[in-house]
Amino acid sequence: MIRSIRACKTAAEERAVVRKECAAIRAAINENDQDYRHRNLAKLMFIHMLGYPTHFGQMECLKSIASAGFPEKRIGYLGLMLLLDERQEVLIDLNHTNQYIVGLALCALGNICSAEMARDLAPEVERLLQFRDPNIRKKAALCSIRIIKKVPDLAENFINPAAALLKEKHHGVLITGIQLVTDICKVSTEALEFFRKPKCLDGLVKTLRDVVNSPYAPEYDIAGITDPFLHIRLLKLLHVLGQGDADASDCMNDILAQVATKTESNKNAGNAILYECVETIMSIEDNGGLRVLAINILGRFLSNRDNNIRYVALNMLMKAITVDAQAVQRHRATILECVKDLDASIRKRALELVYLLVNESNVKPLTKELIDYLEISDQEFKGDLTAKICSMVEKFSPDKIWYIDQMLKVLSEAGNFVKDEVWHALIVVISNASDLHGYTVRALYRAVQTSIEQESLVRVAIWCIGEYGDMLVNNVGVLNIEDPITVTESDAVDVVEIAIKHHSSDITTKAMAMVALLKLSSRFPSCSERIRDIIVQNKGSLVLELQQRSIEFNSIVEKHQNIRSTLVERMPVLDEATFSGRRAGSLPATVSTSSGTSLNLPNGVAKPAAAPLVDLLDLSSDDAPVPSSSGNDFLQDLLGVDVSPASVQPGTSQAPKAGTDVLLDLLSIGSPPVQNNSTPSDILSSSQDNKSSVAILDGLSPAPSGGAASMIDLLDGFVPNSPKPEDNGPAYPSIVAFESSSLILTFNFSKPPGNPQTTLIQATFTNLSPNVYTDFVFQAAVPKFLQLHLDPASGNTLPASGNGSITQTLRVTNSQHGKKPLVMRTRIAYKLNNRDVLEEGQINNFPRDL
Amino acid sequence: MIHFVLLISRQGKVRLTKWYSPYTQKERSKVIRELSGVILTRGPKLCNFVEWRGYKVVYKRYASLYFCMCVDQEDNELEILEIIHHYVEILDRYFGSVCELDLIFNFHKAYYILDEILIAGELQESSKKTVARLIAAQDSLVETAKEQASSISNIIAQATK
Repeated sequence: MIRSIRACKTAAEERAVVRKECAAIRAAINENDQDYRHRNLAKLMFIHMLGYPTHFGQMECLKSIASAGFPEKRIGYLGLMLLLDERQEVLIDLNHTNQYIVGLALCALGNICSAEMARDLAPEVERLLQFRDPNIRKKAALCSIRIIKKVPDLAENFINPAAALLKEKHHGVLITGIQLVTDICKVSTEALEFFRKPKCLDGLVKTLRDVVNSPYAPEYDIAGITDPFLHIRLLKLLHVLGQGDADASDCMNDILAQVATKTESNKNAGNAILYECVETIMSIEDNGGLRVLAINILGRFLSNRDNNIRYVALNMLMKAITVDAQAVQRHRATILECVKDLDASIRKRALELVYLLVNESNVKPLTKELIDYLEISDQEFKGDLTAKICSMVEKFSPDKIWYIDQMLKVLSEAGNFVKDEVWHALIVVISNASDLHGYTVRALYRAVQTSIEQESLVRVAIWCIGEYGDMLVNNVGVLNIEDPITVTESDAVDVVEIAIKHHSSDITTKAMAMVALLKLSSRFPSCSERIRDIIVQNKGSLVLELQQRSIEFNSIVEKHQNIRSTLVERMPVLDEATFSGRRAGSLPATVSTSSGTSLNLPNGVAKPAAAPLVDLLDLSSDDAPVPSSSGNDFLQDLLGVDVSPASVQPGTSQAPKAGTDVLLDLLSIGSPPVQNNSTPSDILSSSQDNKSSVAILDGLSPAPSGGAASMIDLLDGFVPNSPKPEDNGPAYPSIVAFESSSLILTFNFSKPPGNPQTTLIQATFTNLSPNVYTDFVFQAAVPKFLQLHLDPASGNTLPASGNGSITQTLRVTNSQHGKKPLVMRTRIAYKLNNRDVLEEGQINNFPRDL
Repeated sequence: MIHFVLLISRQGKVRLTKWYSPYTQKERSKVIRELSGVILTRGPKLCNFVEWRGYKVVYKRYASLYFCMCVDQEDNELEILEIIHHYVEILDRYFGSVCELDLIFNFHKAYYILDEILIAGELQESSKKTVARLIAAQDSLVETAKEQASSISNIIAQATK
């Protein structure tokens, strides 16, 4: 039959033949044909292997097993193991006199038994562990392994028989016995203790020594080593026994050293033993000399020509780093070579290992090497490589200029593989390094000339040119390492124009380019006309975003010349700490500073990222209706009038607030902006959100309410508004936190989206007495599992009889969110008729799930 | 522990499968398809270990057949290579210079031999001679049983003629 199936030329023919055969077999089964049963079963199995369904044969299998003849039983068990899986219950004859049959049964049981079967038949198997025939003993041992894996509770029963097996002479039984002991020890700690006793351990060590020193035995010899399998099993068992136990480890030191030094490593068998030996050494209790030996062996492996060996060595070195980083550093050069290997899996491993090895001292040469390799590496690898280089550079860069340099190189080489957050971070860094602005923009200008197809590079470049175009043209802040370069205004505009028109620029780039053009039109008045022309070209663009921008910018350039320059003033410095804090959740490698500590920035001022530039042109967007106040505020802002801080109340309408506040910010009047209402989302996701290049920094913004308002805006001295909370999460009922005869304190809660542990509390103080309170100060204390941040209050005079109130925002982070509710102790101090008054209280009635 | 053993030809045909962990029929065919795709496309100079679904697959190519074994992360890959070679050598001794055709037409014998080497995903016997002896003994049992059967039926056939 096999021949006929193989002779089929097409799949259809084969199906026909198989169908005929199946029919014949089914007929034979129905007739209960004894003679050919085993042949039919064999045919069935072949057909099954080809992939056809053969369920009708399963009963045949069972009948075959139950029959008396050996051939039938043999085929029946084979069919059983092949056609059925674990979930079938089967009658097993473990008590048969014929040892081969017992062997068959044990084999089947070992391969497919289920938990119930295991429980029923465990005593039988135990008995067989002491059978006279070694063949049966070894099968019983492996069967016991299966039983123990299925039913770990039975492990204790097998401890004693297993211990007996360890003293065997027959290699087969010894191997299986050792395996059984290893598995028992993994499952039961009691067994582990038992086998760690010196008597057992010494026996094992002695066995290993005998095997290592044994003379040539032709039966077990592989590549000149006697029974490498036994070596490896014994080493594995020693690994399990020695891990975590100093005494046991001591016993093994000698034999491990002997194996490590004496084993020949020119054949795979020898290397396998050495590998196992190194694994064992690395996991048992510390012994300096042995560890050094092990790492040297690994070093030797690394320079082996065989790919497998190098792969295995890299794997082990990754584990070894946690144990002894110094030693691994010595092999850094070889590992670096492996990054350039032909084999993809070796490259991957080596790259990961290099990444783990990076520290402050070697980051510069390593990065240089990796970037050089980036140029010649192939596409699939570039993604990984760029990601690793970027995170390395970020973590360990010694100074900003080096960071910018490396990132520019990476972007020029493989910009398309760089993730968005990476170049966002780059922009944040650039904006923070104010002395390097000129240098950066010039370097970017040069880079873009050569690598126009790298999207991310183009984006960063046009952002910088837009922002710092005047520095580029006027050669501001030239560092001595730079070559002189003259760029005219129209050159700069050229670059942006090319970016817009380039066929591979996507919508983000084009949108960013538009904003850059707007900025340039203000900075380079001479090119204004030309810029306007370019912008106007996109008026009819099919992409709504571009069309909108084009029309709006066009109208700014044409009609609103007076506000244009203020609109596109230099952006305030972006808040690095906030950005890292936000990224910390997504990128484990980045430095994470909690947003609460933005107070300690080296720049001194934690400024929120500027909210979208274009939001103020809310003219055409359909955001929530503008509250009536914003119209007046707009005018007032433009005219430079101070905006009353108390007018900002946390409310539900947020979009329009963002608009006016952005304006406030950009015009540097009044307070820094209130939260940018839009949560960080894709640039293109909402067509109504006129986001600009600044909007990409939505990922960075907004500064936490704590950071923003607690800092006095650098450019003016007004008391900042109490910032309104971000989008409300689930609504929490407000509580009256404190009430006395003269003072009421209410808390309103909201949660910033995406962070269930943090709560923003808007505290409102109302004065019930007929007297005015002055010098009003609110203080609060919280238990250790909470973090509290208080923003400055909206004022410190509380008018009488509820004619006004003071508001203050608190930000609480609950590290035991869900387990413990918030509690707070308060202390309120004020002056009443020039008399100091102090009121203290404890607030316990916070909603439970804050 | 070894989770399964797979023998596939260069063209992707399955010659032998042995499963030591519970996989349903659907899962089995899915696994076979996936692994065939991964392993058959690997170049000759690449190393013999593949990371796959959290397990390691060790494979070795002998003439037109790929012998693959799927193991846990903590197992020694070099040892598995040795086990594969052990199996191949025993097959070689049994069939006398084994080729793929031998395994196709005598797949059941290949299985019997595998059963003498591995049970429950662990190595059972490291001596080739012992395995050969056991298989020979079992084969002779089959022979004698067949002879008996044929002789009895002969007698009966003669008797009822």
